[in-house]
Amino acid sequence: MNDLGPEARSLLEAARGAETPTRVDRERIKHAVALRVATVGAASMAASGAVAMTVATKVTVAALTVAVLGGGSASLWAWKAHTAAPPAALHRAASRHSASRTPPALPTRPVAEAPAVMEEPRPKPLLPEVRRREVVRGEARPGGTVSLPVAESAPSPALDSLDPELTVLRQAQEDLRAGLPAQALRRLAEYDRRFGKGTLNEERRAIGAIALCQAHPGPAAQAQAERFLRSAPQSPLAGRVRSACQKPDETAKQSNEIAPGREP
Amino acid sequence: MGSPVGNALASTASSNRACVPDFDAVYETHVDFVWRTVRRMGVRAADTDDVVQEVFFIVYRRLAEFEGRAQLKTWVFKILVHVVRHYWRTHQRKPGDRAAEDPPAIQDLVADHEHGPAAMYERVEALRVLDGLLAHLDEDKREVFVLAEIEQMTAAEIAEIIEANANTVGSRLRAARQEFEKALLRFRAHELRRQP
Repeated sequence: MNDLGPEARSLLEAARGAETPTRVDRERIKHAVALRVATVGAASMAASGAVAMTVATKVTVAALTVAVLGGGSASLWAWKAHTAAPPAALHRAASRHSASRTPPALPTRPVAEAPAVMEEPRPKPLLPEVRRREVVRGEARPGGTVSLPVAESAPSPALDSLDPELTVLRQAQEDLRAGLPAQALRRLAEYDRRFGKGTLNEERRAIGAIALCQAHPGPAAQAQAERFLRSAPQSPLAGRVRSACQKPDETAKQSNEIAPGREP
Repeated sequence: MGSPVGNALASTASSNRACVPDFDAVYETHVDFVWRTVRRMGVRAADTDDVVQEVFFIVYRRLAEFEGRAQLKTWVFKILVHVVRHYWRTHQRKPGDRAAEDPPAIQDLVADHEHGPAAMYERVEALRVLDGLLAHLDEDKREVFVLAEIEQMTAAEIAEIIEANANTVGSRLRAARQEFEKALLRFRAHELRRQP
């Protein structure tokens, strides 16, 4: 091949090793990746060891799962206060949460010579093929259902396009905050129509249970909340569902328990 | 080719298919070259974070599928190339539009902090010129040129990354080098005319 001249070589040499990200850049981008992982509900992958991460990263992912759907850091702190959990409990919660999402029947890879980077057996994640197909349901996105391993396949634009799902769920959350649960339910109906059992289906079900409990409190709402709590008992959103869908007698009981400790 | 840690991770993965590389280690080992390559591929400074983030988001999601058939660095690069191509498709500005108007920030040139401000400014200028010259290459040639001349990858590695055969890589690299040299000559001639 034709060689480059000395000046061109000098320019290229200058480019090597130059313009590297600072430590702050690295942390910021890593944090952003964790945020996106959280938005696709992949906390279970990290916590269950589908992909090995440090404990700190797992905690970030688990916390962000709640923060994203809760609308930001304020709701994250509210959630932490509600559960009164110490920081270490966040990691335990993430691990427990993973159990509710990890498909039980998937084969695991052999781990006979588990090196340091492995923490536990890793089930093959569902996200790359199965969930991507769910995301593109009803929408023509060429290449969205490629199922070859990454070494032979191209990352698809559909892989990273969860914004539409997230947007609808955020709007529903805003409706709930504004005291418009009926409007939130209409948004969720739109979610079902557009995405079916989308990638954020668990979060959609949690918001749906809360909205129903606010809009039409009663046996039907209670049943929906209980179904959600049975299927995802360790979801980071379970506490909110319990809180929103408490039966009247439980609320009264709690009030009685709290009352003796109050200052007169 | 590649860093010792990256090679160690790749060889671990190839010797034991059960081993899924640790995401944090993969990130720390590869973030510098992903960042650098994203910049040289013509992604605007303002979009660099997003594109690098996209690369590692896909790396995270696909890491469990990595079976060690390729080097980890090659695998990450393959993802990077697809993400950058997607960026080019979805942004009206193509690499050729970028020219040299988007120079690197001084604080990004961490490699020269120890050599003082003069060396840093020299690097900034060099990168500004380099990016201006790279902007003259079309997407296909630019990819091959950056991977070969800056990341110093072999033709076989590049062929795997861009999913082309080695002959195609060779012809693109030859053409890219010629165009790069011509662009450099034009740049120097222009500089001479500007001098009083």
